[in-house]
Amino acid sequence: MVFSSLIFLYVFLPLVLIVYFISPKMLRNTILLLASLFFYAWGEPKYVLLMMLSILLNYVLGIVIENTVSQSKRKTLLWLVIVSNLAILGYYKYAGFFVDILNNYLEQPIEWQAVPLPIGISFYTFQALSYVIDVYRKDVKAQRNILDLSLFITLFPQLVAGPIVRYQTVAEQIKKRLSTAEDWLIGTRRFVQGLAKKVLIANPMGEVADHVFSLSGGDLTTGTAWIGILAYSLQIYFDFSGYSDMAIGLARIFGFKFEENFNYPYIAQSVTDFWRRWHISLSSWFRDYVYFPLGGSRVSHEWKLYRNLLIVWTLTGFWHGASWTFMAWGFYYGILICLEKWVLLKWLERIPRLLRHIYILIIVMIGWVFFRANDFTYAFTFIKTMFGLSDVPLYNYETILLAKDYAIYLIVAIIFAVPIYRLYQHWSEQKAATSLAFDWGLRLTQTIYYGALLLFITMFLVNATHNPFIYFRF
Amino acid sequence: MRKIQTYLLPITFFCIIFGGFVVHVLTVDRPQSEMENRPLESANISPSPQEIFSGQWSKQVESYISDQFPARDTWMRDYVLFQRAIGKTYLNDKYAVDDESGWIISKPAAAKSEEELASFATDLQKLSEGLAEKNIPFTFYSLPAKATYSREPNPSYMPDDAGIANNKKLHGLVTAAGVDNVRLYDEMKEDFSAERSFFKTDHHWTMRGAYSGYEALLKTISARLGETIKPIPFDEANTFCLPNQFAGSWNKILYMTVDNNEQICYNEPASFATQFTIYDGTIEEGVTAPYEAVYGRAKQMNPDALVNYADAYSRDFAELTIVNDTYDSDKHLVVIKDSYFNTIQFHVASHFKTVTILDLRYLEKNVISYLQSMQPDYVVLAYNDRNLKLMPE
Repeated sequence: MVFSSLIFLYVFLPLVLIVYFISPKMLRNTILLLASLFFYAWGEPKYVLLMMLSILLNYVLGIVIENTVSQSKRKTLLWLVIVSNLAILGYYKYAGFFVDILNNYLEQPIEWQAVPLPIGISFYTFQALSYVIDVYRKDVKAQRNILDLSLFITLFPQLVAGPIVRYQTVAEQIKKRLSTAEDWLIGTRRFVQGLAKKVLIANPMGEVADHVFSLSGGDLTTGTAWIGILAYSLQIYFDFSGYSDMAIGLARIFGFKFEENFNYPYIAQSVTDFWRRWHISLSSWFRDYVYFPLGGSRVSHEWKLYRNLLIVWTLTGFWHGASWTFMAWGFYYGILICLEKWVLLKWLERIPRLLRHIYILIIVMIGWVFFRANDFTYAFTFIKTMFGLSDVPLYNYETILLAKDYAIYLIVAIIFAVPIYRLYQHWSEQKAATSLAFDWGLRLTQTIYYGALLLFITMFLVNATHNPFIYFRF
Repeated sequence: MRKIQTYLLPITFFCIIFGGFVVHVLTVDRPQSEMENRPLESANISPSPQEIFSGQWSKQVESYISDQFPARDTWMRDYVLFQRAIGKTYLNDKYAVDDESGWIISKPAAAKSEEELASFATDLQKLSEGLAEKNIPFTFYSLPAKATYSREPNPSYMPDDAGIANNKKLHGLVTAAGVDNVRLYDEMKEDFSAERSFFKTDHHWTMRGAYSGYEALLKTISARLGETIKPIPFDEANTFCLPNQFAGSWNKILYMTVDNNEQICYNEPASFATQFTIYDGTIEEGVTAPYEAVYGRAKQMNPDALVNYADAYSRDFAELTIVNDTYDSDKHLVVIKDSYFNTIQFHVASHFKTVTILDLRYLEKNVISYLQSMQPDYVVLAYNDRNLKLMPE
């Protein structure tokens, strides 16, 4: 089920909220678990069993690891659980990719029937892995209640597209949490904000990006290519950060407090800074569970640092999908971060802030071309067209039409991609804390604004023709 | 912070989503969307296990919720108005509206591929050759479509519509394939006016435009049959218009947001009401239909009712056989048609002893063998020039 759908908004959510809040507290986790399983089964009835198998595996091995005294046995068990989790993920996500590579070298090709990718498998596998690794590291205690562990992995707000929640973050909240009026207010506001980002900005930007990336290299113009990649850059940000906002907001309504997943990445001033602001839960996962175990930056030789960075970033790219373009995209960031660590950051600090912003925006947009294009040939053609290196016109009627028809969406998207609204929100909340009259005015205004926004979003949803979440396929 | 004002937004949010749910449950489902011209999804309350586990049922339910969402047409209409308010050039990515004149113009079409045009030409060739085996002459007619000839106002930066080029290229291919063909616009162009010939808000031609088409069609058919058949002269005395508001097909797609004062008009001699015996199907099947039930059903509608093109002239029948008491030619003419021909089907039928009208979208028969068995004197395929498939869209 998709958050930005009429069935979620007007059927699933109100019913779950009613049942949850009228139930006794002792039943609430069970209700959330059942709702989460239903939420997942709605689109993937068959794969619920796969997810439950993954939960059972991690539940049992988590307890076994905790109860094992011998360090070598604990390590063997940890590897067993890592390999098992990655085997499940690998079978569904990567097997076809590797079979294709092997078939290039084999005389007798391996026959492989592609299997559909279970939604959210990359997210819940990583979440489960973090739990078992944390148990191994003795950072957390193994969960004895399988229902509670299941709830951690399946909790519907974050189940299919993150953020990747650490067990440490919510372990206490699963046992005991308060859902106050303030939580409802903040959660509702955050959910509607996320929904608006997705429906009012990401979807229209997606229409533009899909159209432009469906054009052949010969039909592109420099102007159209820039509009297309700008639209895609905004689409992917508002799509994914919108989903994260909805997840964080929904969780908050139920009393869970998730970590932030985005922090205005397009205002970053370096690639390193960008990745501290983009998909924070994934970058920190790789940092804590891959980069640090490899030695991180505390290494005997400098080359090992760069090796570690390249491994982590190539894996980050590969996490997104089984294709060479995703790997190249990850490797591209690996190289850039190595360069920044080596010398570039020092240079960047000396140039004006505006140029640093331009640098990161161009770097990120070029990266998105690899992320969005189906193959390298198209990606390189697209980039050449962007920089006027192809024999194509500067613009044509399509450029004008897209610019004219989507200018308003682009302007709104750019405004909300910088933290103006957050600054206003901080200011207004601070003022409301000191003035009752202002607080009343603010709450009334917010109620009217968010209520109207919800109705406005509904108008778009009833007309929805373009509604996929980009990160669902990861 | 447990203050009463803190509850305002969460409660409002919940009231909206829960209210939407309650209204949805209490609202009676609609079987059909008049604006979208399609059946709406109905509730499947007893899905099979296979439907559930395949995920098919969840998709059905999502379609059902979307189709039967409370006040769906109002939301859709508001969305069109929103697009107009922000100055979107092509509403729903299809149509531009000129607010002053009320004309709705389609987005320019791109040039069709050689393969697509050649495929249609090949189908026509097969049809023509199949009929030639039984010595049945055949002619392909393309009728001027609104989307092809009504192009103003079009934003200056947009390219020209490729409809005329597509049409000319198609006729070139059809001629090369040895199929007799007529580009009806060429026969009409001296007297052709897009403003007069087409509805502002619908994709069809008006009675006046259709009448010009009928005159040109009859002139070319009679020449091919070697007979002298004169069209019924356009007589203002035979013209009358309905008071009803017109629901043009493109305006319906735009949820009737374009104001217009268009009227449904007719030009038919009084004799039409009595001179035909009409069969819904073949003569052998014997199912007759009164003239008023086939042509101009809108005449019997409440003057306040919205009238669309099909109600105004004729809906599409899979097969209609019209037997004429007072004919100019004793020939049996078959017309394979799309909805453009509906306006003038009785005008054409009034000259021939028998006219069979086939609509391949609904006819569940192999058209070549069926026509071979029917043994008519002449077969005409008359499609508007945007239709580039034997099975029209």
